[in-house]
This record gives sequence, structure tokens and C-alpha cells, in this order.
Amino acid sequence: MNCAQTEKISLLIDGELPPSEVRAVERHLVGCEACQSARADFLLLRSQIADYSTLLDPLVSQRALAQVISRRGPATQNARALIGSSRGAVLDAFRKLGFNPALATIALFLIAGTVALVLYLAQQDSHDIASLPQQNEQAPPNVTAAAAPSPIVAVNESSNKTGSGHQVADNSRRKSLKGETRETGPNQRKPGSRIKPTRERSSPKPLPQPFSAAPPTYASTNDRAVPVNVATVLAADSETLTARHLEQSELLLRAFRNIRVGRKGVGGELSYERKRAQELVNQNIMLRREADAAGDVQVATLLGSLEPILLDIANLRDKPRNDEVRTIKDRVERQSLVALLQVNSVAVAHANE
Amino acid sequence: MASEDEDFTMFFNDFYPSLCRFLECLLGGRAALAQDLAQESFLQLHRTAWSTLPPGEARFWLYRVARNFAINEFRKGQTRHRLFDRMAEVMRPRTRNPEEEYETKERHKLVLDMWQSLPEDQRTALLLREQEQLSYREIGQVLNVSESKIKVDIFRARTALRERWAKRSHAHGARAH
Repeated sequence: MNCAQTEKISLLIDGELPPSEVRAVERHLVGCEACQSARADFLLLRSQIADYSTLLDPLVSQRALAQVISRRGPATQNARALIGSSRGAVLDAFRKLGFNPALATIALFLIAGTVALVLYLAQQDSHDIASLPQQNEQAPPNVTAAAAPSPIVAVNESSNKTGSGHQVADNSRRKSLKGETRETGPNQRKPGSRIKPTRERSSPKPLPQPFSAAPPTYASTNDRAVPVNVATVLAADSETLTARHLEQSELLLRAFRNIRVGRKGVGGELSYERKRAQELVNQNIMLRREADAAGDVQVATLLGSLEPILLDIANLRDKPRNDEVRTIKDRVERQSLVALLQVNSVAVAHANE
Repeated sequence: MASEDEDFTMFFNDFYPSLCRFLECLLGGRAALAQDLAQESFLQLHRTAWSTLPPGEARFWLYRVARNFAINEFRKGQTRHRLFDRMAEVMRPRTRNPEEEYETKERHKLVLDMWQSLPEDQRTALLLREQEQLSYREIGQVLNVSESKIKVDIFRARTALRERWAKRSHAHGARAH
């Protein structure tokens, strides 16, 4: 085999040969079996390489795009393992080991909240020593909270006597929080309590068997305040979570809507959709209650419509009957849920920004 | 801002699947890692260069960054990723047609097996040529090397793969007889 000519065959099939040499090489090809064989082999390799396709889940693409657009940065290697790949592979792994991903997420929030609390307490120790003689005589330092960019709304148990000061503090904290509406209205919080709405204390309504969602819990609040900057983050979390939840639910319902229902039964198994629905149901319950508590009727109603659909999908058997799947699909269509979720997820995301 | 996001979304939809494919081939079939790195590449692009790159350059920038991420992964070592990818592979939602998935997997395995012996720069150059149809000049731009190096790398990659292919066919033929 003539190596120089073979290299030119490689350039020829790539269209990278200078025009002046193309004719000469083509003429050579006609009479050279070795180069003809090389050309055929190179083109065969090309087809093998070009035909390689990835098994890319459309949900994965959409989720990746949503994360990139929302400017959520890529986590470190270890954090990626915790948060999970874009397909939630690690969350699925936790489930396999018996952990409920929703509880694991809640546990993470608890840990983060505890760490923030410990840090605040460590700070407050030094503040308390300095301000102890003055506390009973004048309003607490948090009267000036409105002026400070991120004031600590300092209330401890010993200063409960200064009621007006607390009220001022509470109002000033409300003003300093951007877009915070939950503080107004009849559901006023105890002064110094967390901005984020507290969890309902009563036990959750029992859910239909066999799948019953564990009631999510938050850390119980106490009279200690949290720094406003952390509270701002916590308040924004709910809206962010809601937007993400609506988006994820929309993706799930789109995928479910596209499932083929034929004479031979449902096309393929639905384990992925069921698992996803199980994850989303817990989140839906939590967010619906928050929306109820906040008086956000629109979001609460939407989540209320979504919840039974998620439950039904989560409760589907491994090989469901056609009519079971069709019933759910019909309900999704009748309520125009996909469109509603799309509109609302965009609206909530914009409001959050 | 809205139209910038729209442009980016279109760009993402156009190139995310092919970038995943490129990375998956480069990484020897590690699909989960390929998707993570593809997402990170787009995020870098969106954050740092999207609004400043001249038209038509974003794609080359993207592939350059993605390839650098892949090289970093090689350097970090593969033990953790093997475990992670195995988990991801086990947990991956199955397609609706298991037979089709099996055939596709076998085909993929064949292609990926052949990559093993190629050096990274030859592998990358050939991938960009055959999968992304970039010209030698464009490939040189992505990899920041001269066009003549690309020419040589692609030819050497093809020759090496051709030999492996011939050996494999010969071995199959011998087994059949």
C-alpha cells in the first residue's frame, strides 16, 4: 500500500484535498485496489462512528436546560453525588437502600437550619454580653433593623417585656424582606420566629393506600430569631421550590401523556414515571400546604388538582391495564394540566426573580 | 434578556444531544458523566462567553470546553466515576423497547471498544470530523492546534481503527470456521 496516497484518500473523503490534486487522486483510485480498499474501510468507519447515538431521555435534556438557564451552578464532584445526576440517579440509589428521598431532602434542610442556628447563637453570645444592661431600659437594637441591610432581628426570651419594640422589629423585618407578603394578614407570626411558614402541627390527612406519602416536617421554630439574610433565603426557597416542582410535574405529565396504549397493553413499563410521581407527591403536599397557609389560592388550587393525578400515577401497578392509564391521561387532558403547569411555572419563576 | 434566553435555548436544543454523544464517545461510553459534563459546558458558556462570542464561535468554544472537562476527568482517575456510572447505569430508566436497546448497546460497545487504543487527541479529532462534520480548520480551532496536525491525527486514527477492525473481523471469521 502506498502510504502517501492512502493519506490523500483520507483527505479526499473529508473534502480537504486541494482542488488541483483531487483529479489526480481519483484517477489513482481507479487503478489501485489497495486505495479502493482503504477508502471503503474509511467510509465504513465513518458510518459506524456517525451512527453512534446516545440514549438521551428528553426529560434529562429539558431538566439540564432549565438548570443552566436558571444559572444554578454545577456542584462540586461530591455535591453532584448528593444532589444527584440530572436523572436523579443518586436519589434513586438512596431509594434502593430504603431511604425516602423526600425525607432525605428535608433532613438536609434541617441540618442546614441547625448549622445556621448554631452560628447565630455563637454570634449572639457576644452581643448579649454587650447589650445586657440596656435591654430592659430601651427598645432592642432591632428598631434600626429597617435601616441595616441584613440586620439580626435580635429577640431573646428575656426581652419579651418590650412588646412594642418587638412589633416594630417585626414590622421592620417585614419591610426589609423583598417581596415578602406572608408576614401581613391574619397569620402574623410570633415575634422572632422564622420567616418561613411553620409546618402544620396536626397530622396529615390519610392518603389512599397502598402508597401513603410521609408527611414532610420542618424543624420546629423557637423564640430565637434567625438573621434576616438567612430568612430571606428561606422565604425565597418556597417560591423556587414551587417553580421547580411545577416544572418537574409538567415534564412528568408530558412523558406520561406520550405513553402508548395499544392492544397489547401499555408500551413498556412505567417504573420511572411511578418513581417520579412518588417523589413529586410528597413535595406537592408540602407546597400545597404552604400555599394554603400563605393564602396563595391560585397555586394551592393548581397543586390541589395536580395531587390526585400524581397519586394515581404513583399507585399504578407494574403492568397497569390500558383503561387505568387511559383514565389518568384523560383526566390530565380534561383539566389541561400540562398547559396550566407550564404557564404557572413560568409565572412563579418570574415572580421569584 | 428574554430573547437571549430564547437564542440560548435554541442553541442548547441543537447541540446538547450531539455534545453528549461526543463526550460519551470520548469517555468510553460513560453516559451519565457525559451528560453532566455537557451540562457543565453549557453552563460555562452561558455564564462566561455566550454574550461576548462572535456569531458561529459558540459551538467551537463549547466543544473545546467540553473536551477540557473530559481531559480533567481522565486525569482525576476513574475509580469514583466507575462506581457512580455503574449506579447510574443500574438506576437508569429503561427504554420502552428492551430488544432495541440491547442491539443499540451492542453496536455502541463495538464502536467504543475500537476507541480504546487511540490516543485522546486522535480520538477527539476523528470524533469532531465524523460526528460533528467540522472541517480541519474548525477542528484545529477547537483543539487549538494546527491544521496539519489535525490532518495527521485523523489519518493515523483511521489507519489504527482500520487495523483493529480487520483483526476483529479476522478473529470472528476464524471462530466461525
